[in-house]
Amino acid sequence: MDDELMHEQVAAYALDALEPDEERAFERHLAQCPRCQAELAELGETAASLGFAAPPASPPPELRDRLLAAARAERSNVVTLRPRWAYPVAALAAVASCAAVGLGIWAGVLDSRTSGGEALQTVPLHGASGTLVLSGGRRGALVLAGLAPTPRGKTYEAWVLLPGKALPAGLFATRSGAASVSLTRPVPHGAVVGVTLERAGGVSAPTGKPLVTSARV
Amino acid sequence: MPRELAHLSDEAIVALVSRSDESALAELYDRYSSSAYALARRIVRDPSLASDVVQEAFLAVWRSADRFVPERGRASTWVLTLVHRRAVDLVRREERRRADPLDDDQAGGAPSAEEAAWLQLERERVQEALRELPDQQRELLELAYYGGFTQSQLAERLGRPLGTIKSQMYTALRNLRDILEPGTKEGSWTTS
Repeated sequence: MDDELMHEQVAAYALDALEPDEERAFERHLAQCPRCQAELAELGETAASLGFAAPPASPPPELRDRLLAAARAERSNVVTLRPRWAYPVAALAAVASCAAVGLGIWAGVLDSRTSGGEALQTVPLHGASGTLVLSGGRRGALVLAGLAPTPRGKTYEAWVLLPGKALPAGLFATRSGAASVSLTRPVPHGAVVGVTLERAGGVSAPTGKPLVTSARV
Repeated sequence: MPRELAHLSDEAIVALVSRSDESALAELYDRYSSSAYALARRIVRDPSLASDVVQEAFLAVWRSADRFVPERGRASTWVLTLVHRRAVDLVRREERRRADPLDDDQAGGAPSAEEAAWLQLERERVQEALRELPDQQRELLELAYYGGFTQSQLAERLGRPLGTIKSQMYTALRNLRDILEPGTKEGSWTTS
């Protein structure tokens, strides 16, 4: 699609009227088109004006307490993680503006894998935005943004890379480019965690150079 | 509940929400829950689904307030954008709902007494602007925004080529903007 036609999509994007594949294509365009970013700021306001024009209706009074209770419950999940998490959350958030990576996902991935007070180590990544998170027990999770959406017939595969060998550590797919992945095997000292793109179903040894690698842990 | 935060701007409230300030979330809810619920109700029709949509949208605010960038737009726009996205996702999953006729009780409905006067003014202003659009443009915007139809679905439903729908939708939203914000042109707009 040429630029002018792509530019026109900004209105449909503001109205949430694109098909999922069109939406992803437009978001890729938007990320590097200042003109569309500026116009989205305008047309986004106009679309929201339509929201204010909806026929009036009052929410049920109990909804307020329900929301605040749910918010409180989420906060108690996040608070134990906060000291070590504040930085990577903010850093990832900065680059993942189009990706739906919320604190809820982060906390959800880790809650199932770590106990409340366990110390967490964060390790930087090369090749994508995000972080490798390790528990004291060497369990790991990758939180990623900025990947290409998984192509049809392919899967992303995580690996624990040790000198001379690569151990498969789980498959995942993403449509938005963001993903939170619990690794299926521990990450020993001295290992590197990597991600490759493989055929659907996964493989037992990587077929190419990793797209994403962590620093040595 | 005392409204100690009532004097703060929406954007300042969102900044407090990003620091997990629950009373700030409550304040933001008090300001925009009526608009959020009215919009969700218009799209998903069902009151209990509309409540779920509103709760999910405000929880999204709670989780991601630190990513809100005031320079890119108003907090109220952000809230309604979150509501709209969730409502539209829901209605697309439950295709049948939008085939139902609009219930009378929600189409009428007098504004609630406690509703802020400016919300009513804003509604009237936007409805007036919509009436100024050519019928075809108004219909497109309403079907897309309130009906949750994608451009491709609209092309099929209205029997027009997709390319035509795309340019008409752009023109329609641009025209609505020019009616609502006379004097602003692309590039000259600011958040102030």
